[in-house]
Amino acid sequence: MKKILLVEDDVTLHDLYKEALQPHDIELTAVTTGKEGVSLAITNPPDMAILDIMLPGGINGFDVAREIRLHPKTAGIPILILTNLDSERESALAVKAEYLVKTNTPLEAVVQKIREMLKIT
Amino acid sequence: MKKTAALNPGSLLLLAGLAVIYFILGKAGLEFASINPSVSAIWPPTGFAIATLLFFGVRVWPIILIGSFFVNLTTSGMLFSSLGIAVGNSLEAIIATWCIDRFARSTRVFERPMDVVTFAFVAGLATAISAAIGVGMLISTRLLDPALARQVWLTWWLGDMGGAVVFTPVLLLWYARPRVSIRPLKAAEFILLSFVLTGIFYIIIVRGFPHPYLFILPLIWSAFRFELRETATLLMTIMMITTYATTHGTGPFITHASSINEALQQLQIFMVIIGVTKLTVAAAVEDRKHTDQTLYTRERRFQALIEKNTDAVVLTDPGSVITYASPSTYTVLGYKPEEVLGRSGFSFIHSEDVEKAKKDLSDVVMNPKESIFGQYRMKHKDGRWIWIETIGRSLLFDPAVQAIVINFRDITERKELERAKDEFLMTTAHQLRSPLTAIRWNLESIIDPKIKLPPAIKEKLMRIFESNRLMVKSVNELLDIAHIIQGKLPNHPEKTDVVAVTSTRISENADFARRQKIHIRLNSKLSSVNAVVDPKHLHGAIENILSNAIKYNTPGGSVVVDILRHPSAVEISVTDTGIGIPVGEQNKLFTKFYRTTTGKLVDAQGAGLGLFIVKSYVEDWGGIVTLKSPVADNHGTTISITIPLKKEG
Repeated sequence: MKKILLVEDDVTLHDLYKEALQPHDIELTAVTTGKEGVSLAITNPPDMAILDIMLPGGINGFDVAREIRLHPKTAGIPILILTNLDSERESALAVKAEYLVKTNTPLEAVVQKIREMLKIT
Repeated sequence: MKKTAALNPGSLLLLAGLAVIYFILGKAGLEFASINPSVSAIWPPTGFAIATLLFFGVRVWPIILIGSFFVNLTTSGMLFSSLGIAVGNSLEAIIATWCIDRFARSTRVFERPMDVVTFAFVAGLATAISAAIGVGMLISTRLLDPALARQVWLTWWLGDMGGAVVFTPVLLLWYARPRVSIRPLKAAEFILLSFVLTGIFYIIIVRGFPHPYLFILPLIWSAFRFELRETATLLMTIMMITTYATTHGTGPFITHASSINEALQQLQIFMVIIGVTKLTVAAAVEDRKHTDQTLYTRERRFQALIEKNTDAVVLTDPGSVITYASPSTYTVLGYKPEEVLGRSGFSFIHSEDVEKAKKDLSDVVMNPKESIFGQYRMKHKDGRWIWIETIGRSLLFDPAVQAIVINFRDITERKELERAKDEFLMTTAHQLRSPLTAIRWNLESIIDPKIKLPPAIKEKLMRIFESNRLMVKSVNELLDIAHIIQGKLPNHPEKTDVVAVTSTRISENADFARRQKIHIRLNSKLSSVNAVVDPKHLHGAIENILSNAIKYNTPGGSVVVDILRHPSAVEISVTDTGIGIPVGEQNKLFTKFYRTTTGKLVDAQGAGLGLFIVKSYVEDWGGIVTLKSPVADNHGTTISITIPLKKEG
């Protein structure tokens, strides 16, 4: 069982992710703010993080990614930036994260990407 | 300006009237004839004839011919000689007018000294010819004793020349400026001048003072203080009064002359000489006044343009040191002109923009013929940063300026609006994307083949899914536009196989084409052509053109795609058999939100963004998009994308 941390303010998407990932033996913990994301990543280090960029509360997805990279226990985990901004590809590279634009990607392709990043065959 | 009115009844009447005036003037002139009934030492008709032809064009010469003919016919009663003299008089006016039109600015001949001299020369020449013809005529018809020929010719010549020099200017100048504006001081001065003139008449004519050059005094006065026409009129008055006196046996000219004719000749010589001199002086004064006025007006106008303009102007040296600043510098930057003099223009520019400004200034210096535009942040005197747009031009080599001229204006508000607009567009697009994602993913999770649903519901879900797909596409296009405008279009060029991308797009559109009953095929046999472009953009561009070609086609039509390998470029062309694009709308096709009138008839949903984006992509690669419509028989369109192929490396 792999653990994924999802930071996504659009709660309607939370269940979709959970349903889609369950068959692949992945457990998903979803939070809506960057602050929650950072504290959860530290207290309960996941195997992977999926981050939105535009988040409420002043801490954005990239801030969360940088915190994850700074923390020894999570520094090496795969990060997927899953957002609707398509202008931030370079910033994602800077935190060694993969990048997908939500609207332009079928849910199935997102799941596929996650499996690749977690090396689940 | 010469009037070249058509010959309507009104103008015929005018011409007849002019002929009558000529006739009357001629008869009046011959009142002074003494040496021969047909030859007078005073001949105003010459001046009238030249003025008339200058005004109405040389083509009205017949009125001179007719007028002159009747003057002489009623004097001598001889048909042939009258006609001959009339020809001479007409020729004189025609030659003089032609030369003045050609060499001395036509009706404005008295406004410049050089033109006046030309006029005098031309008048002298033309009247000499006329006199020669006239005298020849009189001798050949035995109306004149050949022994008197030289004397009569001289009288004739001087009479005509006097007429030209004294009467032409009066007529021309008053005709050109008939209005008299009465200002009290000027009027008083004119009355004083009249008194002085009367006094001189009294001294010279009544008291017999033998120095007629005294007349020069009031003429000089007039030349400097009044207009040209007043001076000309004064000259005419002096001529008329002295002529009257001379024919009545008084005045300075009669004293030493053996006959009235000889006295009148001397009077004519005198009048011609002071006439030409005075007219030249008056013209010089007028010319100078005119130049001063023009300069003054021009300077005032430029001053107003610079000082009242909301745009500001500074002059700098090549090192950006300000040597002049217009008053509106205060409006734009908050500094009074004297506060910025001697300072470097760069000292007001934001440190991050100074490099750019230095480069622009050196461009200005290096390209003296070009205007260079720049935009920088500058510090207003009140401490805030404002956006300034500048237009620089080097006039270092212009001896009158010897500086770099920089116009500048505040564009902060414009910048702010542009930014707000782009931000609005971006935020809106992103806000739309979130719910679209939720709809898409939810739909995807239920139209999974593994989930059993009633076919009717599945069909409806598929339609929702299709609508969602269209909307995602529209939002993506809006975002692209926003990025293009901001110059932030994400661009990741890599080696891309144009043939493979095109084939993929064609097969992906096969379903859509089948539903629209369009036959689509790839005509090229090339296996692969690599270009360095962002593959996403290439996919987008070809997709756009293909879907348009299918959407705006007619059922049963076709779409033919061709790929051509040129020596240094690859061309992808898409030809449809569709509705075509009206010629008048073709150049607008590549602008944002433009849809052709034919396109609107077919499909109401197109947003009109497609080709604008295609063009932006292709131009980014250094390529071009071309359009040919109609292809044949008023139908069909071919759109071609040409992409340059970069050499390896």
